[in-house]
Amino acid sequence: MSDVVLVLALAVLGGALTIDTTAAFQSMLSQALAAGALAGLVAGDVGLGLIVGATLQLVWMGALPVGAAAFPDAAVGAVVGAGLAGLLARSGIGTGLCVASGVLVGLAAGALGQRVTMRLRRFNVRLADLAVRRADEGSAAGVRGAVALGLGARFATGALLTLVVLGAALPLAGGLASMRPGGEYATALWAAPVAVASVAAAGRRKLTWFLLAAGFLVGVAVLAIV
Amino acid sequence: MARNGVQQNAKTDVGAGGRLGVGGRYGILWRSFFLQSVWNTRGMQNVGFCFAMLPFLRLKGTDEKSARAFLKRHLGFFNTNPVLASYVLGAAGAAELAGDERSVEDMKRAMAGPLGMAGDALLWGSVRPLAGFVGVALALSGRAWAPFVFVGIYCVPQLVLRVRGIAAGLERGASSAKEVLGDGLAKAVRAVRAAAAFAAGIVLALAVREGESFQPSRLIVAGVVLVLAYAAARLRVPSTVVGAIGAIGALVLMLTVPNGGWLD
Repeated sequence: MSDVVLVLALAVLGGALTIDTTAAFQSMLSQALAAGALAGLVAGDVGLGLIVGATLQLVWMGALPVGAAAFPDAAVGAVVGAGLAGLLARSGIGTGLCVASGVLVGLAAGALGQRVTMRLRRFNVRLADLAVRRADEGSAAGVRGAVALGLGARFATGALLTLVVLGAALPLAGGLASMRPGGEYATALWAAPVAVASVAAAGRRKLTWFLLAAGFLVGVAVLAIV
Repeated sequence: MARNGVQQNAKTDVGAGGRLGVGGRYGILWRSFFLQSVWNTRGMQNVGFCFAMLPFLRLKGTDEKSARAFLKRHLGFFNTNPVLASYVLGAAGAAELAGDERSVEDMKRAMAGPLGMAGDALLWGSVRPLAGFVGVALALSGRAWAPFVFVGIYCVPQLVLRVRGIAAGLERGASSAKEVLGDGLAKAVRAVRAAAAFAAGIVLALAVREGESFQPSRLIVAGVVLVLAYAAARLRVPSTVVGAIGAIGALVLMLTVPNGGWLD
C-alpha cells in the first residue's frame, strides 16, 4: 500500500472512530488503546499501534467525555499517532523514535480534535433548530435528518482532521530517517504517561494511594519471580 | 432533591410497554446508541432523545397535532448519561403509551440529573479507568488481544444496563431508576475505583521495568515521576501537556544520547 493510500485509509478510520467517541455507540473502540491498535493494523504494525495507543490512553485516562466537558479527541489522536508511527517504521526508523514521534503528534491531533468538537457542538445547534422547525409542521423527518447530518458531520471532521495532521506530519519521516538515533529509552517514554494516569487513578484518597502502592509492589514481585 | 423528584414521579402506571414487543424494544435499544449524535450546546441530547422515542410515536398512531406535541415534548433540553438514559427512554415511552403525556417532561427532568451523575461516576469515572489499566497492562506484557479485553470490560456492563434500563423503565416507569441510584451504586463505584488504582500500580511497575526484570534503582524513577505528576495535577497542568513534555524529553534523549543511559 502506498503512503498516500495508507493516509487516506487512516483518514477514513479516524472519521469512523470519531463517531464512536460520543456521537454513537461509545463502544470504547474510539479510545486510544483500541483506536491505536486498529490504526496499527491498517498501517501494517499492530504492535507499534498498540504501544502508541496504550501511551495515549494513559495520558488521557483522566479526560472524561461527559456532559459539556471539553476532552481531547482520543480517536483522531490515536489514529494519527499510530498511523504516523507505522509510516515512520516503514522508513526504517527505530521503534522508540517511531513511538515517541507518534505519541507527540497524536497528542497534538487530540488537542486539535478537542477544538473541532467544541465547534461542531455549536454547529449542531443549527441541526437541532432544523429538527424543531420540521417538528412544528408535525414531521419527524427533521429529527431523522438531523441525526444523519450530525453523524455525517462528525465523520467528515474526524476524517479531515486525521488527513490534515497526518499529511502535515509526514515530512517528519524524512527528517528523522536522516538522523542517527541513540538508545531506545523506553522508560523515559513511559514515565510521564504512566505517572499522569496513576495520579488520576489514585485521586486524593489515602486508600487508593495505598492500593496503587500495593499494585506496584505486586507488579514488582511478579517481575522478580518471572 | 433530585432523587425525591424521581420518587415523586414514580406514579406513572406502566405495563403499556408490552405493546412494544421484543422487536420494538431492540429498536429503542438500537436508537439509544445515537442519543448524542446531535449533541449541541443548547438542547444537548434533545434531538437524539427524540430520535430514540420515535417508535413510540408510531405506536401511538396519533394525528398531526398530537405528533407535533409529541415531537416538541421530546425536543426539549435533555442531558444525562447516555447509557443510563435507557431508564428514561423506557419510562417516558411507557408514559406516552399510557397516555400520561402531562407528566413526561417533569419525569424526564427529574430522572436525568441523578442518572447522569450516577452513570458518569460508574461508567466513565470507574469502569473505563479499570478497563484502561487492565488493557494497558496486557499491552505492556505484549498481548495483542489487549484491546478486546479493554472493550469487553466496558461494553458488557454498558449493554446490560442499556437493555435492563429500557425493560425496567417500560415496566416500572420512573421508579425503575431507583435500582441504579441506591447505596449499591456508591459501593460499586468505590470498589471499581479501588481495583483501578491497584491495576494502575501494576502498570507502573511494568512501565519502569528493565527488560523482563525490575531493578531496585527503578523505584527512584517511579517515585520521581509520581511526585512530578502529582505536582502537575495540583497545578492543574493538562495531562496532554505533561504527556507532550514526556514525549519531547524521550525524543531528545533518543536523538542525542547513545545507548546505556539509566533511563534506557
